[in-house]
Amino acid sequence: MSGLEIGLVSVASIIVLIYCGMHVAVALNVVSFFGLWAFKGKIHLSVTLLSHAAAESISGYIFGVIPLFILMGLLVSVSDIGRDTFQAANHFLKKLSGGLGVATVAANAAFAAVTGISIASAAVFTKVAVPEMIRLGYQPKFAVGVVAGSSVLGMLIPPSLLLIVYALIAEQSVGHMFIAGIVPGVFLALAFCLAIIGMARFLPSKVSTSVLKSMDDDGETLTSTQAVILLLPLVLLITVVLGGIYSGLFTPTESGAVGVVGALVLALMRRKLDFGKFWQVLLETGHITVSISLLIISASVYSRMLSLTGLPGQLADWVQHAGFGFFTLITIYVLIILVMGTLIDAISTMLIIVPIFLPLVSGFVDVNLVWFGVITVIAAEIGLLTPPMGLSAFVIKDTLDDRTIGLGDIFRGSFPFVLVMIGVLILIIAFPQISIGVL
Amino acid sequence: MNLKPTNSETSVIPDGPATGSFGAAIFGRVLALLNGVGSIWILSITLLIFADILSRLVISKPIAGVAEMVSLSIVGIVFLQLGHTIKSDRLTRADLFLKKLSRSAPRSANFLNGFYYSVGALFFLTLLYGSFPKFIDSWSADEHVGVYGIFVAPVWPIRVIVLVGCLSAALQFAIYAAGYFSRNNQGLSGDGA
Repeated sequence: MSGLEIGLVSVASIIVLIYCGMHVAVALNVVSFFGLWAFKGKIHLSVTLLSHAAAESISGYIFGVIPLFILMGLLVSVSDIGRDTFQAANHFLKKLSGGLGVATVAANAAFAAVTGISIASAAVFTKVAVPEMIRLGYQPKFAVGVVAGSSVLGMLIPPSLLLIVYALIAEQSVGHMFIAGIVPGVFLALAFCLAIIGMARFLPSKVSTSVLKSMDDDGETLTSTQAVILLLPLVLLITVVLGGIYSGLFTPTESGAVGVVGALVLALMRRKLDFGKFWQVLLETGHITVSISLLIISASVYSRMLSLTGLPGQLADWVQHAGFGFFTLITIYVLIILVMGTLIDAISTMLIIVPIFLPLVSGFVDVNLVWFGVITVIAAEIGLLTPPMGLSAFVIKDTLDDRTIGLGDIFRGSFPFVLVMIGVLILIIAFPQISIGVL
Repeated sequence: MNLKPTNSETSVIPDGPATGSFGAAIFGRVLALLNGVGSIWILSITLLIFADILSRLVISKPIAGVAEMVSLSIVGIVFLQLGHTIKSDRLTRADLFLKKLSRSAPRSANFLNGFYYSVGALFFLTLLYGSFPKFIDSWSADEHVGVYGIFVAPVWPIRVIVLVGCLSAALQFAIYAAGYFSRNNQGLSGDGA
């Protein structure tokens, strides 16, 4: 077999194996191992590639961001800041039609700025926002849809695990990726809010079961001052962490450490953390760190194997030859990610597809790989909401106490938000300045 | 907070190896211990980085070697916690297809799971084999990171941890593989067994 064929067969095998349930890291490594063996005919080269990647590909100061931002996010999650933010957002937004939905999005956006995992956002806001929305007369399908849709903000608004993973595999600066994620994240949040207000006005039957009760009838006692105080810790944490990176005072790794200490102080001051809980958070941090790091090791083995077989180079030649325009290429790329996203999770999708397309887009002048990363992350995140494999919907289903809301309801409820994401994605592709204008 | 859904009702993972033995229980303790050390390590580098920042900002004197320590630590942490992560079934995988299969054809699902875990075990054995020379090199060449006179740290302890991690991962994968295969041999179905 030629290198090109080996490369194509490898990519296809990896996708099939992952879909059929093999551990993603094992699938990437084992297929790459055999792919390289078949190509070079020497097994010891494959062994060397594996062991070298294991020792070197996560050895670097920047990889400290992985455990640090995970630990910070988990600490923020246990300290009930999500609930406070939701209450405060609600206080300011309750006058709007669909106000509770808008408040969920706003709170999620703020929460996303201190946590990097969509899953954490989905779990927290399923507990906090869904029961409240249903109690006040919102359609259950709409309530879970809002939570699912807005949970993707967690992975787009920095610090975000997906932005980190992209930066590490595409060798871009984590700090730049973070900064380039801010405006698109806020922009997406605003688009979600507009969509909710629009739906509440023009399709009220989709939003509420009967007449929406407003929070005013509910004897809500929060004053504006109290609401601002509720928001204060979060605002402080965001300022220190993102402000530190933006101003250049901290490296991303340092900013992660500062964030952990800040979140720890916050959780302790709010008496939300005892030793047992803290230990649980540390264990959880370790497990997620291992899982992500192993994926990054595997991705480096896989992309090394791919480039040795010459697949990305030959594809690049072919694209040049066929005279594809840049936007055709990006369109194909986004469509592939969307299709893969329905079958496998967002991080695996990125690990498989980015090493193939990176050399292709690098062939075009004026392509900003930070912007390309933001496009990649948004496209991959749509997969969190699309069946059959939509991680956010699964988490919401698992966290939900209400057995009457099925997985299908969650997917249907989040569909309008999928459309909004696609719209925003197209805008960011058309106007890269939305993302990288602030760099 | 999980990276993958954790619904105990639909989990495809057995509670432990069906061949649950004294040895497996001891091994579980060892994994938990390694994992605990890794957790404390994460906390320690966090505080180290924070101390470095304070020292830099307050007395304009950064702590030497923090970047090198962090670089080495990540590898150490990951391989220390690898076995326990596998034991807790926290390695990323898409279990949708397996869940469906375990409902319609539990024996096939057990077989497939046994196969996946066996491949995982073989993979980490290969990695163990490939990493051994790296340990020998770092030991015999007295490999260090850092700048002499300011900060140096030996690399070999990290290489040892990589070996320990690969071995523990291979063993844990093998234990699960044996668990799934033995279920089929005992004629038990995948669910509720």
